[in-house]
Amino acid sequence: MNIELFNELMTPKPFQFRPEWQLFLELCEMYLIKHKIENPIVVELGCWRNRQKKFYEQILNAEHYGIDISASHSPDILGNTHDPKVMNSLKKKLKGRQIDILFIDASHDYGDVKKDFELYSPLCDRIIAFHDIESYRYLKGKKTRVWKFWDELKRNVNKGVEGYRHLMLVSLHQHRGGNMGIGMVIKE
Amino acid sequence: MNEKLYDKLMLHRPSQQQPEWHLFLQLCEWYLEKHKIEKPIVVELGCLRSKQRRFYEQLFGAEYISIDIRPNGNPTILGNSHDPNVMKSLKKKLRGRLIDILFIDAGHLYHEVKRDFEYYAPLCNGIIAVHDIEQPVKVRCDVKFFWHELKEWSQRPRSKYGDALFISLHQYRYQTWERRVGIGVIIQR
Repeated sequence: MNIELFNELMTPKPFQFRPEWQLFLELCEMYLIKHKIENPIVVELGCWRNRQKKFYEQILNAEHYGIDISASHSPDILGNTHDPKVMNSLKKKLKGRQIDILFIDASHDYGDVKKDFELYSPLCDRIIAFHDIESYRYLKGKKTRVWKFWDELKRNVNKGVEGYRHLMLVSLHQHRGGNMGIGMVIKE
Repeated sequence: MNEKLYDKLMLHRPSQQQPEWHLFLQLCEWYLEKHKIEKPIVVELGCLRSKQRRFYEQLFGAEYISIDIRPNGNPTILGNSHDPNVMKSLKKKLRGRLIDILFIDAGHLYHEVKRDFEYYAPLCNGIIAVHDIEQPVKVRCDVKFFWHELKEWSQRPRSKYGDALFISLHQYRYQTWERRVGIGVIIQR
């Protein structure tokens, strides 16, 4: 990866923890090179000021669509990720093409993450990533439960449940400074 | 990574699951390039038939040292990884240098893997990998408990591994005798 460009893009800071974010992009790049994908399509659910866009566009040469419920984050598609109208807008932009990298980082409630995965994963045949798979894992009573969905996904892979057998799971996590964690599901 | 060479080496069927092993080696290569390490030192605890040796030597130009209690894999150091004499032999070979990649795959019971980690991790300043972090308990493998504990430790204040990046690689495997394997990787810097 072009580290000089990466360092330059780190200001203003994206809503990502540097070591995890850097390795995530490195792994995406390795994957795209391996599969000879030159212009990947990246969809980000929950795009927080759309600051990750420039990384995808400039480092991975991607076509990026950010979806967010808040206009203040300047998303490409404004609305709730579960709203059928939002899905329709995305499908229009995709024009029948599949997503290469899907980054799920909208609502962090267990049920919402699960629904995002169920709605959007059929549109992606490559990499599906989840942000915050480690956040609040050891703190009881918090609503952020992406970790619960991630663990469930892992159990399904372990059991060899139909539809989960070919998935490769990669998790990236550094405690100090962020305690967020990125989980990657590599389909192919 | 040199994919042609990798494919050729895979014909020797190492005791590794292909997608995890491939990604693990890619991570190692990324790390070595990032830190400009040209001749890394790799130590493997539990090398079975030593089939991983050629990957490290030919892909990374590594100096490879294996330790195993069984002689059939022709390990560099023969003996139990917990034996102080084995540790002495390793230290002689290291001559004060630190290990770049440590692969822990010897005893799979909780106390065995924990002791291996406690003994050998201080000798490594790069990547520490733990094999079989997803193996089921019924095959006498407690590695996953140790791996989870290690991740929890890293969250404690002043933990040595608070700044380390924890990566786990895992894919379902069809063969019933080793359905789950998984590699846990700690990148220390």
